[in-house]
Amino acid sequence: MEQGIAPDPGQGWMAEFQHGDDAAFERIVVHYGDRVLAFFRRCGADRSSAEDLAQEAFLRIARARDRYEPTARFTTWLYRILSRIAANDGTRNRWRRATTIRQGRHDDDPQPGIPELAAPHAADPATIASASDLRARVRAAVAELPESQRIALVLNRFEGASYDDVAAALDLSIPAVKSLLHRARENLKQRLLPFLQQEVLDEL
Amino acid sequence: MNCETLCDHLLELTDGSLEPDLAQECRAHLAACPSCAREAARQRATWRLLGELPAEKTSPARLKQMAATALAAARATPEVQETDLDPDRGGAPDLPAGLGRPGEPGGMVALRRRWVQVAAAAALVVVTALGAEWVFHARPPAGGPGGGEASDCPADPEFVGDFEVLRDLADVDDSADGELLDLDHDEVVMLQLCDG
Repeated sequence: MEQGIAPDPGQGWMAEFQHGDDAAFERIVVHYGDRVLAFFRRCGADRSSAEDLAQEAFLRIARARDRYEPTARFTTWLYRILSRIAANDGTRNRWRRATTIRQGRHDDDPQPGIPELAAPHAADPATIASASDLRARVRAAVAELPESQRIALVLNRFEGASYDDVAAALDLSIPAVKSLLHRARENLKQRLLPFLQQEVLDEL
Repeated sequence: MNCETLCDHLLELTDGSLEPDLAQECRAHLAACPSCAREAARQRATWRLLGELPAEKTSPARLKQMAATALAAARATPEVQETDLDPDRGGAPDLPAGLGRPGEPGGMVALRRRWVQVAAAAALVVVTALGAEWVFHARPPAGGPGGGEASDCPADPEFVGDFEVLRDLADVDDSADGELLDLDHDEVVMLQLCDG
């Protein structure tokens, strides 16, 4: 797994920004912008919501101009901002999921809100129409994870954030982060089981 | 190593972040335990499926635009909000008017929320005024077509009720010249006439 992001020039640019160089702030946004947007997209926001949330993140960075202290890597600080925005947003249900939620589920469905995954007989990977179909199912499975699991997963698996970085971003201990990731993976495994079976067969 | 110990290390093993010696022990166990081998394969497969979520690209021009928007908003509201740092306190920072997405005036979610609040307040004022007017017209006349005080008013009696509503509202307006109620000159003059 990729550990951390290198290079991490944000700290230097933030220092230049603090000394009055607005162009340095622009460099931060251009350099990290795609990653910020991708973070919110992978957390389940649609494109429009992801842009709103990314804009909010950039605003927080700009507002932090005078109080930013380079005590940690810039990306660690950035993860913290992103995680808090994502947690805020999920709490307020402002998230607009880019996933299709199953309609008309039974009342005894133990996990309401889980996106519709193909029924086992239709989930044979051989019947998957396209890679975009699989992507949609994976995206839906990630989007429906509990908030903290989803944020930890996206930071760790997609951003390459170390356990230390995820722990700092979420104010958790490293064992707690590992526990979150373990549960996230177990949840995903259940949701993606039909596809995993073929993947496993391919591997064994 | 037994199955339980392997389970404890499986996350880091499939991450590739386990210490080499420990990883070697795990691999030895996996070679001898089909059940654990299958579980490890499932975990690796789960992570592989996550690789199916590609990142999208945003043009540098769009990102520069977002940077400019953020800078302008930070200058307009430079204070650091507590909510910037504490998710438990709820609200996200709002952007000032005119700083939304291009093509979508006031495009920020927060800004849209604010406008909805303003529109709701305006609607409440209108409904209140109309309601008061209805009550006024429904009231039995006392000494004249528009009520006792209105009988001496030089204005058209048909409209006296409207201006009485305005006058009632103006009583709340400390500016005393209709500024807060955004009355035009004729309406203020009419109020003064009605007040004698």
